[in-house]
Amino acid sequence: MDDLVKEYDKYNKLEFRDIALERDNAIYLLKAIEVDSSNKRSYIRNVGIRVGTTVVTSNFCDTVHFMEELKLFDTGNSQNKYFEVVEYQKNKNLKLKLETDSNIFISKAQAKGIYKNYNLSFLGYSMARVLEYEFTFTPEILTKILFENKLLQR
Amino acid sequence: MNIIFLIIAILALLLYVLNLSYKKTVQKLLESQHAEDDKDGRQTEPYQFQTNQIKYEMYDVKYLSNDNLKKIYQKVIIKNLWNNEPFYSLFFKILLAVDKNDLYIIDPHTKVITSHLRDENDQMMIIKSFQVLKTENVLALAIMSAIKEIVNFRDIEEAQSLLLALCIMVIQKSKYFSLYEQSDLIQFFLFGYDHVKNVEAILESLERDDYEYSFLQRALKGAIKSAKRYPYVNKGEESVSFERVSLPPKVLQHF
Repeated sequence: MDDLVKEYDKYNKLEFRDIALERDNAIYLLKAIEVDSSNKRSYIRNVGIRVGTTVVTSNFCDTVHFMEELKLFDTGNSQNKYFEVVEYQKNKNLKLKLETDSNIFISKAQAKGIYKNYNLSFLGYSMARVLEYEFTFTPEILTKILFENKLLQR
Repeated sequence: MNIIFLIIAILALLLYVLNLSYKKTVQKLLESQHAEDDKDGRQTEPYQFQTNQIKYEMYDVKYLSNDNLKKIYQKVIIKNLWNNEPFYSLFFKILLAVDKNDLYIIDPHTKVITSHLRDENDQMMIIKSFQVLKTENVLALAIMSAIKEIVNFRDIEEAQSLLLALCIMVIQKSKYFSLYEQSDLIQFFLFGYDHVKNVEAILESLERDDYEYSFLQRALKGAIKSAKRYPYVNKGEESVSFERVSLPPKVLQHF
């Protein structure tokens, strides 16, 4: 099967999509899709998350963990990797742990919306290959993808 | 009535005959003049210089690998025959240095995207992706758009100093040399040039927004705007280095 997938990679070109999950804070899903024209199926090969000018997660495993932390919302705790629970005027919010100057806060409704968009984005695709035959984003490949999708232009 | 018509007809005939005879005499005069010229040995056609027979001692274009730089070499050096030393060697050395080293200029309109990736041992690493321009392409485009105006300067030393000043301006824009002082760059690239003070004066006047040389800045801006963009990834440590180049031997060749 491993060789078979490698063989597929020669013929089936991978396509990349940038899907908006939440536009106010510029949270996007970076998807690598393999379109297999011989059996008319599309496979998801990798999923990452981009927030503004930062790619927070670049593999499927990390992305799932990111989304689960988002789903738990205030029931998550200080051990969270991506989010911090903060309270402002008795309202609980999530604060994204980023090394940038700007702080990104996510309300409960926004978190629900993001999770819903994330689930909707998988409709119609096969998940059979993403865990076992994940397409790894190396620094060079990721940069090339960002460049070709015009994400490096201002 | 009839008599008047007859007189007019006779007058017209007379005029026609006079005109014919005048033309013939003029033709005869011209023919006799040409015959005299041939006797003297003067040729009516201009003599063609056989420039393709002359050989010049010059560097071979093959040492440059970038096509744009080759075009620049043809357009600047060979077309104008600017093979006077030390300008020629210095200019060729700059072209070689830019060609052999992977110098780049950061695109002024780029976004820097920071990415958190995992390496093969699942360790987190942070990389930065952005767009760059190749210095060799920018240099070629800048010279291509400014050379017409540079050549128009009557003083050849001034024109050549302008060209070298443009090279220094482009090289200073590249990431590797961006922290260097302009005077260090001039010392580094134009060591031994007898009109260094000219170049320094041109660069100084450009800083004061002098109108006379402003076309150099326009050329540089235009080149940066129109050069091809490339993706670039910075994995933490700076990988670009600069190697000094040595000049190849000159070869006798004709163009």
